[in-house]
Amino acid sequence: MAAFLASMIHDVPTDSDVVLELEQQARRQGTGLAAEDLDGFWQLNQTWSREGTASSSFSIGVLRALKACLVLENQSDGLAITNQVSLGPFRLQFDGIASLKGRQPLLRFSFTSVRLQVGSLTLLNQSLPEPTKQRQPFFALIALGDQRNWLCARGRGGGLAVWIRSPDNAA
Amino acid sequence: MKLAVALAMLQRDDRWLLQLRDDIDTILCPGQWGLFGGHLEPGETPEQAVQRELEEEIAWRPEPPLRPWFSDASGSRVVHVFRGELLRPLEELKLLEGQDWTLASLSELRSETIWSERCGEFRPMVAGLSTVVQKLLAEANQNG
Repeated sequence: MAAFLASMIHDVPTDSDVVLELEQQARRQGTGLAAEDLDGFWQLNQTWSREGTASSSFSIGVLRALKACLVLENQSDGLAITNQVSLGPFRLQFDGIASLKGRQPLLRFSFTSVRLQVGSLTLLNQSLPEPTKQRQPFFALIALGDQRNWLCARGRGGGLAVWIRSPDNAA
Repeated sequence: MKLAVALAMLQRDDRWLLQLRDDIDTILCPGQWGLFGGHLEPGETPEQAVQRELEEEIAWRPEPPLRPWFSDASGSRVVHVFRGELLRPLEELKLLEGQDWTLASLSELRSETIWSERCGEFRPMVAGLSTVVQKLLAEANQNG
């Protein structure tokens, strides 16, 4: 599905050189991105290493098959974040809170619970300890597509990723 | 009376020396990139403090001593920032305090997150460093 969605978007970056250039721009000028720009279901489409080496087609194939998805919801008291993978009726999801900081900006987040479901049946629902501030993960945002249909960022571990906005949670 | 600190902004080949603070919850800004330096000891001037701190933290005492750049008393501490050339390569110095160090470009400083080779991940910068970065950017703009 992610590959299909990506093929429908003409300006989604598929080359790390483009992503790295966008990152230089974001560093120079900031992105101006705000919480309301991020609202939605973002399906992972492509990843690269810190230096820009593309992940293997096998890895990408697995992530797409698992429907790896980032869900951001702009709420009155902040951003809610979910990171989830699905396989058949199984869905594993991490839920938490996020906030934006700085001019690039950083999307800092922490997960407060993990849930495993099969269909509508919940097999596991457990709270997670809050990480110390210095351990808090983040995405340094790089760019949002002109039509707001793709998002690009670099993770704390250095990897680069592009997500495609998915019309709904079923993607 | 506010506590005072003396910090060093050391430049080498258009890059700036940063220290990655330890991941210890009880210290200020743990796990973040900041400048080398530290608190003034009783009876010590900022000029003396920054020279002493550099010797304690990277085993190097600048000669001639670093020149004062600016002071800022708007926060909870009085911050004295000194500036100078890092005249020796990192390979000839020793990291004695902190968990990593790096020479960061202005572009990296502007991005607010900087890669740590030792930790294998990006780490954020101390919020107070933004004043220093803004001054460097203003200088860069002035110089065209």
